[in-house]
Amino acid sequence: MQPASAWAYLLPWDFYPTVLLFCAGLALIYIRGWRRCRETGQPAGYAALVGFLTGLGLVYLVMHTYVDYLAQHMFWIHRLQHLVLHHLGPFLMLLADPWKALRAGLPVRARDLLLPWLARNRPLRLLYRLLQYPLVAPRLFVGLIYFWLLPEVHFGAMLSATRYQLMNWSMLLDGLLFWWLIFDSRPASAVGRLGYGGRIVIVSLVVPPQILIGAHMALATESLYSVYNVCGRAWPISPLTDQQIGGLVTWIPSSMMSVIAMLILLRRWMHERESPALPRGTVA
Amino acid sequence: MKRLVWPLLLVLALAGCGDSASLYRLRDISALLPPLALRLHDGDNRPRSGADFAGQVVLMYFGYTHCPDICPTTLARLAGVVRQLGAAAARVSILFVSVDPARDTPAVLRAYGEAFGPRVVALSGSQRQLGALAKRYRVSYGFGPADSDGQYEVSHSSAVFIFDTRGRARLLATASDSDADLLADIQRLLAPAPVATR
Amino acid sequence: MTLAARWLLSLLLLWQGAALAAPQVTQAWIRLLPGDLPLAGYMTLRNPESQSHTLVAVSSPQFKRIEIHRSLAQSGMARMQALPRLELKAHAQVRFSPGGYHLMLFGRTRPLRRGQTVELLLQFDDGYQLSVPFEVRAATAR
Repeated sequence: MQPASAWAYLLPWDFYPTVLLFCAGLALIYIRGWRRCRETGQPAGYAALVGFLTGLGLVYLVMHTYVDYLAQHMFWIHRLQHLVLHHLGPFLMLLADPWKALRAGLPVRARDLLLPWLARNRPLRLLYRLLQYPLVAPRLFVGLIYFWLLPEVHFGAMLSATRYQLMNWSMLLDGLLFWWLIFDSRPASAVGRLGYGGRIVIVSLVVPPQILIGAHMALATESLYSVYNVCGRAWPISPLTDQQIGGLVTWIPSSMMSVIAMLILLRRWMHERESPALPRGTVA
Repeated sequence: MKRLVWPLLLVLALAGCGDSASLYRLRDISALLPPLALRLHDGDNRPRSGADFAGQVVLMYFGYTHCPDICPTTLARLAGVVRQLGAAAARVSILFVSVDPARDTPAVLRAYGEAFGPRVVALSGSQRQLGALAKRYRVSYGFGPADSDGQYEVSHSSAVFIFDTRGRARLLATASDSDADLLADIQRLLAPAPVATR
Repeated sequence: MTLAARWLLSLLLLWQGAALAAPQVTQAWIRLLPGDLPLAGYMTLRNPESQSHTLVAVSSPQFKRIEIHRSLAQSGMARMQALPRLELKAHAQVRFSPGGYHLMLFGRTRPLRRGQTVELLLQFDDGYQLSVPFEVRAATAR
C-alpha cells in the first residue's frame, strides 16, 4: 500500500493528535524561547537549536509519516523507529540542553501555573525520583526494550492500535528521561544531579543487555515474531533477513550511542574539574 | 544476573494483567483488533456493511480472484470446514475481500463467490475503502508490475480474521492451523453463551 | 520362436522398460474457476531414473499459456514466483499441490466444465515428452 503522491509520504499514516500536539508544541515553545534567550543576551547557540529540532523532527518523522506504516509492517523498520524514539531523538534533544529555552518559550501564564504545579505535585515528583533513581533508570531502559520484544507482547502491540501507541510513547518518554539523566547539565550542587562517574557507569551498563538481545535476534535461525508473517510485510523480504537486520539495528547503533555518550560525559567531566566555578549550561 | 531481575519483574507484572489462558485453539486476538466494520460492495453491486453480518460468525480473508493457487485453496478450505458444520453453516459467512477492484468487477466477484458455495460472499470496494479496511485490521497488500498482457500479481496478507456473532474480532487463523482446530473454534463461537448456574 | 522373433520381443521389452522408467505423473487435476480467470494445475511428478530430468515447458491447445509457479508465503504475504524450469533429480518426486508448486494456466481457448479431462503436454530438456490427462475439478476441491 503506497501513497498516491510523493507528498503523501510525509502525511501521517494514522493521525494521532497527541503526536502532533507534542511535537509541534515543543518545537514552537523551543523556537520562541531560543529567540527570547538570544534577545536577553543568554544565547543557547545554533548547535543547540539544530540538535534539538533534529531530534524532535526525527521523532515526528518515525511516528507521524509513512515510516509509521513501514514500521508496522517490517520488523527492522520497527527497530529503527525505536532506535529513534528511545535513543537518537531524545539523545539529540537533551544533548542540546533545552531547558533554558523551553522555560523561556512557555507563555508566561502557562509557566506561572505549570512550574509551581509541577513543583508541588508530590506523587509526580516521587514517580520522577523513582524512575530516575540510578538503580532503576538503566533497568527501566533495558527492561522496556526486552518487554516489547517478548514475542507474545510484540504480537499484541503490533495488532492492537492502542498497544502500539502505548509502546511507542513508553519508549519515547523513557528515552527522554534516560538521556536527561545522562546529559543533566545542572551544576554539581543541584539536588538529585548524578555525578559523572555514576552516569558513565549507567550508560555503559545498558550496553551488554542490548548487545545480547540484538545478537539473539540477528543470529536466530528461526522467525521469532510471527505477526509480520500474518499481516504481511511492507515489501517482499524473507522473515529471517528482516529479523537479522532488525537485530543488527538493535545491537550496533544502540551500543554506539552509549559509547558516544561516554565520550561526551568524559569531556564534560574534565571541563568541570578544570573550571568548577563555571559549570556548563546552568539552569537559571 | 541482578540486572535481569527488574525487567523480569516488570514483565511479570505486565503479563499478569494480560490475557488469561484462551479456550480456543487458534490464536486468540480478543481485544486486539476493532469489531467488524466495513463499507464495500458485493457481486450485485449492492453496498454492504459490517452490520449485514450481525448474528453470524464471520471469517474474513483478503485476496484477489486472479490468484490461482493460494486464494482458491484458502476459500476451498474455509468452505469445506464450514460445510462440516451442517445446519449451523447458515450462521457463518466467509467474506472474501478482493483488494484488486480494477479487475474484480461485481460480475467477476459474483461468479467467483458462487463457485465456492452459498456461504462465501465476495466483496470489493474503492481503493480508499479497501485501504481503510486493511488499515483497520493491520494488513498490507501491494501490486506487482504488469506483464505484456496487462496482468499483474497482487501480494496480500494470508491471515483469516474470525469475528463472533456480535461482530467482535476473536481469532486469527493461518495456513498452518489444522481444519480440526478451525472447525472446533467456529463451533465454540457458535455455541450459545454458557448460562451462569448457581 | 524364431531368433528374429526373440530379438524383436527383447527389443520391445527394453523399449517398454525405458518408457516405464521415464518421469511419471499421477494425481493430475485442475481447479476450475469461473470466467476466464487463470487456473492452477496440480500433479505429482516422479522420476524413477538414476539421471535427472528438467521440466522446461508445459503446453496444451486448451490454454494460451502455461507457466510453472510456486507460491510463497514466507514474508507473510501470499505471493507467486514463476520458474523458467524445474529440475527433477534422480529418484525424486515433486508434488505440485495447493499452496506450493503449481502450473498456472492462462487464457482458455474453449470453455471448461467440471468433470472433463484436459491433456497437458510436459516437455523435458532431453526432448522427452509426456502427455498427461488432467481432471477438471470444482473450485471447492481440495
